[in-house]
Amino acid sequence: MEFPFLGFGVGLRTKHYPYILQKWPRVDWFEIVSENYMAAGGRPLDTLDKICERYPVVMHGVSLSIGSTDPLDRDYLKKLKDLARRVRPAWISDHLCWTGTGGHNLHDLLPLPYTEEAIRHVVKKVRQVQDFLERPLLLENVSSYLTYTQSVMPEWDFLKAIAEEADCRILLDINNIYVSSVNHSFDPMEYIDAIPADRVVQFHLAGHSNKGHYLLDTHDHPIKPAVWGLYVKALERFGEVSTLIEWDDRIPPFPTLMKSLNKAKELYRESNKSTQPSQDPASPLEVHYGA
Amino acid sequence: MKQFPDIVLPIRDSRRMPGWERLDIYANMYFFRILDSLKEDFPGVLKTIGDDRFHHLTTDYLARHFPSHWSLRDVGRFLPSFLKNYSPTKKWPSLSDLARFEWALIEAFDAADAPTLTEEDIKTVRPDRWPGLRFCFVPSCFLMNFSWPVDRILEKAMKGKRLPVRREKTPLVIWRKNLRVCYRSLPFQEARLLSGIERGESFGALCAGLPTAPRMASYLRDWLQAGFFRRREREGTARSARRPMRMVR
Repeated sequence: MEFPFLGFGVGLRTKHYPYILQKWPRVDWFEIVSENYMAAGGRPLDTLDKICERYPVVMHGVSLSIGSTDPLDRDYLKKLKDLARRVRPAWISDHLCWTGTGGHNLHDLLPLPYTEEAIRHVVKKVRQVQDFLERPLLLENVSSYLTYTQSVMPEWDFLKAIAEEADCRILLDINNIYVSSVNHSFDPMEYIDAIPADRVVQFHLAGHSNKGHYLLDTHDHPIKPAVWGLYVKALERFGEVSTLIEWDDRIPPFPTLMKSLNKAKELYRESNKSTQPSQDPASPLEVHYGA
Repeated sequence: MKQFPDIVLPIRDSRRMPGWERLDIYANMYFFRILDSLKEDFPGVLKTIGDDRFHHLTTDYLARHFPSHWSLRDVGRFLPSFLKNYSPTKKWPSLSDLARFEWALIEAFDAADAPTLTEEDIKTVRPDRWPGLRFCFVPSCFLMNFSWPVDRILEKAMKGKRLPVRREKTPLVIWRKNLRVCYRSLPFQEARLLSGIERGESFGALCAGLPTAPRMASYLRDWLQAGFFRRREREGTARSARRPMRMVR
């Protein structure tokens, strides 16, 4: 399966439905939170269908819980696959984390202990998911606020080992790297430099909040200068990577998102790896990327 | 977390924070994420009891109903039944009904799509087949019986007004039209007829209980215009083709 360079996209959020359906903004692509569209019907799916007719869409999940010791939720996976049949996404991603155990769901993205045992465990589950979905999965690095006493390696080695052994791809969240680097006192460039370039398919950029003793990945602020700086470094290292602006709380008007998007484009141009996205963002999507 | 200092957590202290405080970040996010979700799903309950009580309600609810489903959308499923026996909100006896109503609005919002039966469709039915007709509700339309006038309670609560306190049997129909969730209370006779349809009674049986045929025609026209009933295509018929069809249950 090929992973095309989609250009610069934003996360699709309910608040922006009227604006998007009225203005059809010049955005290269949208990312949906998969779970928000795993409904039987109604407005979310109706809107999504309309957007899929005009833009490339990728699916980004929060509930796979790939690291949990619970077995994979077959009902969830089936719904994910059904949605993928409808959306025909360029790719599907979720997080390298666990979201619950013992049948209890925490609705949060918790980090894993960075151990060989956890690598084997996650690799096995990623393979199961990829077999079921019949397509490669992208795993995203999460922001984290704690470190387990059992961890024996840095997060980047953990992510790299899983991506290579499970043969999956990486959604590199630049903001999450920065947030975790502050919370765990590591050099974010060490993270960027350790990730194999051929595995990285997508970037996330988002805002965070400073809580004094730690940074919190809130997605409710503009992207901070330090994260933009790290994005430039990531562009230098990884080159042409589809980039997405995430904003999940205190969501601003769509034109404000466009400012962040345009800044990302500008930085990309400056990095001079390429010129423009290969696809005309204003034209209807002619090619769907699917399994 | 702090109140259990003897528990040895498998979490390292950082330079700035002890391990328990780092775990506490997740504990707080867990709670507030669910609190926000419940506030969004039950705005009428929130307006009725206020922020502080809603916060305590969420704490007590989570202690009893730990989320087990992967979707946050499902978190409030048991709140209506939980409120039935929740003593801190006893002074609002309609609260459980109100929560049940608000949950039903969510269910209608994302219920499965289905083609609706129209007046034009039923004009094609031969007169001799009318008595045996049975209608079937679309998945986003359902009848509910409440012990309180929850529709008025919700509207007043959202305007910040005092609630009506009189208990009153309130049958409601909730449905989705053009992607918008609608509801209205039902007069006794109309509620009885729609309940009959829900039970699978034939058109003939429904009419038998009415004093005049024109009354039934008027109801039926309203229901069809609202889009209560499901239209089933004949096999091999294109969705857009306007052909005679069977009405199903």
